[in-house]
Amino acid sequence: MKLELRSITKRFGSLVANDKISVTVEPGQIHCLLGENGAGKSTLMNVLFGLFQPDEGQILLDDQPVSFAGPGDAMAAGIGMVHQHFMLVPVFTVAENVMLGHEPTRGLGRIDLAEARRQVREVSERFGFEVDPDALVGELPVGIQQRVEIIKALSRKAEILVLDEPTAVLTPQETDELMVIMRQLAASGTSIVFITHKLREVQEVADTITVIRLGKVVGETSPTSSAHELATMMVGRDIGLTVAKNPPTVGKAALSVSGLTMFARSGVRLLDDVSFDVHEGEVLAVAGVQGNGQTELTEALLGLGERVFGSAKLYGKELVGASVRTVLDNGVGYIPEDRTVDGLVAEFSVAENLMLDRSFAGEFVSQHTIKFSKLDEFARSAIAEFDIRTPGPAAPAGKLSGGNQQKVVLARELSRDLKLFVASQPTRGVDVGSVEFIHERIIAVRDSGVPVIIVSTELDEVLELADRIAVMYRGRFIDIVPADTPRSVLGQLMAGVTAA
Amino acid sequence: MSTESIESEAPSRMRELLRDIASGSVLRTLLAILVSFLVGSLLIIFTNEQVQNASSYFFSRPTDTFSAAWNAASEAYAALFRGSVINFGATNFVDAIYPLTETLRFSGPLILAGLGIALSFRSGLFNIGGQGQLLMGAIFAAWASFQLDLPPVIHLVVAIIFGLVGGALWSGIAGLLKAKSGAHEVIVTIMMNYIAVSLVTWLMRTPVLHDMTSGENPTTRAPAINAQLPKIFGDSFQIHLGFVLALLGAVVYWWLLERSSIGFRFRAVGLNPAAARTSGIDVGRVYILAMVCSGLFVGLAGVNQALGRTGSFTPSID
Ligand SMILES: Nc1ncnc2c1ncn2[C@@H]1O[C@H](COP(=O)(O)OP(=O)(O)OP(=O)(O)O)[C@@H](O)[C@H]1O
Ligand SMILES: [Mg+2]
Repeated sequence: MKLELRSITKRFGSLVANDKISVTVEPGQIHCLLGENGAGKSTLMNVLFGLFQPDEGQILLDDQPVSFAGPGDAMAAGIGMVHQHFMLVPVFTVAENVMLGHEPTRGLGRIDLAEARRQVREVSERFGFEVDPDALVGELPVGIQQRVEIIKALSRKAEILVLDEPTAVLTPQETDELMVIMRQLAASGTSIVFITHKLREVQEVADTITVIRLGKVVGETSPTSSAHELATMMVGRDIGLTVAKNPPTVGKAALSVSGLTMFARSGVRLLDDVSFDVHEGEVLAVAGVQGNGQTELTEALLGLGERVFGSAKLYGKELVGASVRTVLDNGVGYIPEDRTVDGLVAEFSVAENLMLDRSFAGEFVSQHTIKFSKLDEFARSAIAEFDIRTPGPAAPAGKLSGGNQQKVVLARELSRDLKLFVASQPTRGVDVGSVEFIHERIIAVRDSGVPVIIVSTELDEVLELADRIAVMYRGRFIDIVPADTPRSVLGQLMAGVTAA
Repeated sequence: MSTESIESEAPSRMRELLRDIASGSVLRTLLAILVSFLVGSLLIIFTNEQVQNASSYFFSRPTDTFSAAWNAASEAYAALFRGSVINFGATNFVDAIYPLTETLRFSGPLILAGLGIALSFRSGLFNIGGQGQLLMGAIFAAWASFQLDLPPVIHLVVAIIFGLVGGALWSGIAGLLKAKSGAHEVIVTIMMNYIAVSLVTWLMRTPVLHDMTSGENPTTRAPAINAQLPKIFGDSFQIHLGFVLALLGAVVYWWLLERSSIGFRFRAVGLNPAAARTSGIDVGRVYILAMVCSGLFVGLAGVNQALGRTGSFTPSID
């Protein structure tokens, strides 16, 4: 089906999130939307999906104007959407999730679960998904959940599929598999709108690219453009895609971890006897396929984990067994893996989020009273310094675009006196311009003599930042290798293969 | 991870609603009052005899029905106004504003209990044990008011503190259980209500609270003069210091939740406990503290009930 968005305008109060945006997607085409955080990509797609009503403009399907009062209408018209944040019910099985909202029934309105299962199997087989219709969604890895979302859209005969940053949570392998699926779908006539911040993916899979900046279309281009051209067009200025960094000036060992072990409730070892040192002024990057204990490692260091044994000493102070607050007071800065769950209080203002870990003492509190004017001042400077796109310090953080939310967390954690900086997926969902900025800031932290631990499933990011790379596999540090280790070797280590 | 955020969606809707109600807005309040007036009028009109008579010939003389309806509703509300705000039929000033002062007197405990419950909602806790906490506050204050013998002012202050402790103790138990074992506060506070009612009823039959010469019915003794909340507008009016305490409570509540760092943590935990925990906030401790604070307000409502009188009271004061 051909999709045409004609001169769509969407305002939120005085903010124009979409300003006369026109995009045409031909049948069977993969159309990439590229743009900075807060450019208005998700908003445009939500308009298409009937979640927002456009203030101006028209949606045309096969040249017929349509209007959607809600997602139900959009789905009925053949549009499927995989949202930036998943919309699945974790306690339902795959089949139940897929049928939700259009349950197949047999006589007397009884739900026909067998039919739903059959649909899941059919779609899975057609595209080579390996998804068990009876698995509980909450127990599936994110990559598979992503597929459930896609199956859900396809089982409703979506002829237009919108994928809003589907790869932000996927491992490189899962991303490759997703791109194969996208090509298959396009070949069978489905039109796809694909949103991502990773230029490599754009170049690999796109047929056409529309670049949006500050709510306006700034141009269309083809995937033959270089990454540098795309980035420049997106951000509106010339940017470097790699950080110029000096060799590290490594000092003494600041963090010494030995025998760190963490158990799941079931007794499974999530961390298995992990030992390493991080020195002042170096970045230790932890690479690995998601789910091999990286999350648990950061949680154990932060005092968030349960059933943690062993030792982690920061300048001689034991972190294992200490409360989160003690750990933070010892100068540990932390970027959690999932900002919406652990990093931010969505309903709090940007300013309140900036003081979330500073409510006990410090410059914003005296005599148990919050100094709002001081906080506001700080918030304004953080917003300027980190280029957070928000109407102001009082705006609820949850209303910011994904990448801007991430910058709020970064601004908070980097504005403290740090003795150790631990960041999990620091640039997840962040646009290329901001990635550059965040990487520069992390290197600046390193150069000020602070030990840094970066956990990333993004091999590019690991190679970009690391001075040493630790590869995690099944809860262990399978090896710690120098930063110039070839990708192929890293890939093997990530799969658990050690060089003999 | 994404699944968790979905999992929390339903309760967060609920929380949002409660928070909306607890934080409130002027417009919503006015609308609520207006709607209740309208519904009230309809009930008055449909149950009024004159209206029913006039409506039997509605189609021949509809104006009769309308004027009867108007009369019924306006008379009822005028009576309500006279009884609760200003008695415009009164011959002297004191009688005229007496109803207003009575309304304010009754509003004291309602304000305080409301603040206590709202505080718990904003901290993500459903404290529905107001009844038990109020009763405990009341009997703690009552006990101090007649079992102790202290000089003026000091006696009152001590009795008030006793009441605060009573309320906070009762809610604090629920907070402690929630923090240490995850026991849901809804269940615990409901059960604590039953315990409180039975406990109070029993104590009101024993010498701890009861004047054994005054018969079998469960009642307390009358508070000592020194421990009664003093009247604030002289002896012509019943209104006492309790209303001032309620106003003070509202100011404290505002500071606590909107201005203090303690309230900041309450709200953070109420909205996103995971993010609060990651930021070094001890969620369990916040649960305990928030329940205790909630119980302090509700306990003060109990104090209001127990000491804002010259006579005894029964377990039905909540
Ligand atoms: N419900 C809303 N209310 C108010 N403002 C909103 C709302 N949703 C989005 N916005 C604002 O609209 C702008 C565009 O947001 P949008 O989510 O579309 O960005 P995006 O291009 O998807 O960014 P990202 O790459 O970070 O996901 C942002 O400035 C955001 O703050
Ligand atoms: Mg988006």
